[in-house]
Amino acid sequence: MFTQNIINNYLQIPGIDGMLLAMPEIFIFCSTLVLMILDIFFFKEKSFKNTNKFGIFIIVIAFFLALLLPSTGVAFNGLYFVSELSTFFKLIILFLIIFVFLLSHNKADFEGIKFSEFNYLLLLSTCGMLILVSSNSFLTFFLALELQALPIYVMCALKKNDIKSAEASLKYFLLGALSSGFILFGISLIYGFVGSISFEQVSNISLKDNMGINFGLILILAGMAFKISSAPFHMWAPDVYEGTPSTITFFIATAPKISILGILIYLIYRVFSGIHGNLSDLIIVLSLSSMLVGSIGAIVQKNLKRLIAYSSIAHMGFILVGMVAFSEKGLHAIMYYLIIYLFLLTGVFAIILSLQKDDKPIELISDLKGLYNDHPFISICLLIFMFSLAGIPPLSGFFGKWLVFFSAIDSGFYILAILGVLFSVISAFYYLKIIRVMFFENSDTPLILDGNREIRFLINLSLFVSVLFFALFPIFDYLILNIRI
Amino acid sequence: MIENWPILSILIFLPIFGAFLILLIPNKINQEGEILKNSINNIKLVSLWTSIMTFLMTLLLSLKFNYTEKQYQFLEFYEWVPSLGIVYRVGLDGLSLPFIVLTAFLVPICILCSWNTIQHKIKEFMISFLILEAFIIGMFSALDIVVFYVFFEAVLIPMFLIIGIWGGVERIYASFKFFLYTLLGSVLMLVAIIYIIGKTGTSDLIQVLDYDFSKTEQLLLFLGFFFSFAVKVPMWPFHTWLPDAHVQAPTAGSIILAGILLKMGGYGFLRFSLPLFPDASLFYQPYIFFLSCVAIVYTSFVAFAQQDIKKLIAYSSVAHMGFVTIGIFCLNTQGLDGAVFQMVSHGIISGALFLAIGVIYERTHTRDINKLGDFATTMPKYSVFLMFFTLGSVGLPGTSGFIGEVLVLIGSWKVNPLVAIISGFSLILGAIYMLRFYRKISFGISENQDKYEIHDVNIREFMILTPLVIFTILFGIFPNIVLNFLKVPHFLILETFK
Repeated sequence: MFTQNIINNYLQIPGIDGMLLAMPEIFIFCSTLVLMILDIFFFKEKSFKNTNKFGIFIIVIAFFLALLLPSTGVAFNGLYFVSELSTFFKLIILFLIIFVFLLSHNKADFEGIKFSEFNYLLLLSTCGMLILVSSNSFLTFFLALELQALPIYVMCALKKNDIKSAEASLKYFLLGALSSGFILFGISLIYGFVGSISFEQVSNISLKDNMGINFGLILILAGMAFKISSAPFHMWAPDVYEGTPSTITFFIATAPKISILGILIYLIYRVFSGIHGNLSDLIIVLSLSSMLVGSIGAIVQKNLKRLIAYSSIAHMGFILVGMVAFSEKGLHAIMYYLIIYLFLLTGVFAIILSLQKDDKPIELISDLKGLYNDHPFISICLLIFMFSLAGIPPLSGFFGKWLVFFSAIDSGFYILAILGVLFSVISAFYYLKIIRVMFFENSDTPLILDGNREIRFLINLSLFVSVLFFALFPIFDYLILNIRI
Repeated sequence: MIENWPILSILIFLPIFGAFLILLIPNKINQEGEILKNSINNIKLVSLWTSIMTFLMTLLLSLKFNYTEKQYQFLEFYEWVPSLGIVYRVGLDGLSLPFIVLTAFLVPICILCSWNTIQHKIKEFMISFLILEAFIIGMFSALDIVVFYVFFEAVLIPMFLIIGIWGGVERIYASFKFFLYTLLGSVLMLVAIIYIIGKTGTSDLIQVLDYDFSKTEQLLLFLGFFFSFAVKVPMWPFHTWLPDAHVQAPTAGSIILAGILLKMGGYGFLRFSLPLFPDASLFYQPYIFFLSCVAIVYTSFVAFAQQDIKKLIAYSSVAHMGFVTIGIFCLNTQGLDGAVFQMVSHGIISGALFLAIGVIYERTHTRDINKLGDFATTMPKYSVFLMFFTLGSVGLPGTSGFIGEVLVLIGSWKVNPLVAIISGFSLILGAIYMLRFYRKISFGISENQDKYEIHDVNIREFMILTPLVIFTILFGIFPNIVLNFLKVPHFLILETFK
């Protein structure tokens, strides 16, 4: 309110209002450029650590900019749009990027990605994500999509000498480019039939029985399903997760998916609100197949990160359940789910990053053998995260699952909800498998815990949120309820 | 002053507080890398005293409880998530109080019986056990469907760990089967609960009870609840997890599993299925009778064929719980009274039997019925204890097992004489396998008798077996101690059927 007053009274310069709405993105972009120059001339030896610290600093400032600056409005001739919803997604993404920076701070050396480029790329990709969730035209949408994706392709390949990393990067790039192609083709179809690339004009036109638009929409949806790794477009996820260093896996598994979900929600709730019937069927197919592939595919996995990849596919299926109804309840359920899932993944990856066996990062599930005997506290944390991912009350995962299915049942999707909870039981199996390895089996080679302050902080934070979510629920309830599409 | 205290919430969170205290006790390690005896003793004592305090508090509650009051007592109400209509509401009526007292009674016994048997990770064991107790008490006192569900499923976590970490050789298989089976049952209840909240706009049980569901809704919702409770009870054919879980669980786990976890299903039927879906209960009555009769007859035969004595008692539990489901779905006063009484008495007797098996297993390290025998001469005191529990399980008049079975038979005769005849006939089957069990253990001649060093029950075991015997006989002679609690709630349940 206070900032609003200042802006209204003192900053009434033509054009500046748009600048203010996009201030977080502009700030991140400019300061990244400044940071590069600083790095070349001043940081020299401590290049990575210093850019990392400045990165956190930049993100924190951007976080407060996004929080305090006006939260609604259209800018740049309708190309750019800020709403409470997009601010919500921006805040989550910025929060998450801070976690990524904290995780990489001391672990980058160990993981072989200690290049200051990592930090620039992360910042640039973040900038793309922020623009993506507030894009208001297909042009901005596509440009932001590429801005967020291109740095990630490079980040995957940062570990130059590792063949798996190179494979992962190439796979991610090829499939990512393919999906971008799908999206671009879809956009061109829609432009051909509507005659505009502005979201507002597309949403004003009656879209009901137009084959071209429907086809374009399907292509866009398919391309986005690629990016959020929803089945049947999930094939890249296990390989990429397995091949990339864990810090980057954590980043890939969360941030781009959240930003794309953010714009997907905006697209289907607002822009294509005329054809909900057709869309709903498509999303049901995506959601059910994701749950199926995610929960059954994970059972046979031996590699920890592949398992997480499949589990994230299954969770994407659960998140999409919230979207089928196009209801406000569903929207809120997705928001809850994202917050909960984000903290759980943070905890899991922090634990994976902090453990070593024979001076190597742990890879297989069986590497966790005897974790309980070596490090009781860490293993109890992982136990709680696993039960929470499986959705057992009173832990946080249960509430996410519950809200999502609540929204589906509320709108009459009973079969989907019943199938969903059954799949969640199947997926409980492999979470239990991890618990079994940690608690019920013993090993000869001890696991080494190399957790620094940042990682311990992240583990404790995640533990706090997932155990005490039931107490935080009313607070979230108050915050999230006010956000409307 | 004490009237205004949130006494029920204190009761729920007292064990968690105790668990927290245990967490703070440091694991001091001596030079050989073993945990100091001192800290182990502290852990055991803190958990024991916490559980005893909880038991005393439940006794206090039952003294202050008013039998004739139709409303829930010790009510507590807090807004939890206003936008979804979820409230934290806990309260007691005559139906939940006996189970809470039973829980609080059995937990100190479990802790005492694992005093020496649990050798490793004792701290974690006690913490799991106290948390389990808190969840169970919370579940029995929840008056909000969501709160109920949260506690109902949360019980799985500590139980999974108790079976999986401190269990027998096949513990991993058993714990997975237990967890996934019960989870599969209860997720369908989750869907039903969500539907109810969507329909009524609230999850507060008191308000939901006023809502009239249509016949079709009732039939479907009943099934959603039915699967989760039927797996918990367990009814035939959903019982296969039970023998595995029982056999692999440590003694304390078996006691709590047979004594209380199985009762969660029966309690769920009484608390939710009957009052919420009266039409559906009438509709499904014959099917449930059929399943229960099959359970009683079939599992009695199966129990007769068992070599493993723990498995024998596990199958006998399924048969006894068959009586409970028959009694519940008789939908008359005798049936309901009999069912609840049978649950309470089975909680004591089967808990005692598992405890007794644990006592021999500690000494002989076998549960094979053919390798055991002649305890009447080697352990005379023990044999006397075991006789009480065996006869209680058979349902001898004068023991608590008799009252429950007779009331159920009377109740079912009123509804369907055939059911009464079949289940009455199977009382004989129960007597056959239980007496075979007792004959072999106490008087039979074992193959490798002299290998074991057998000494009779020590003072600790004597202390925990005695109250169980006392209650077995006390409830058999004065059943009104329990039945007084049940009059009003059963009257209210049956009123929905008129």
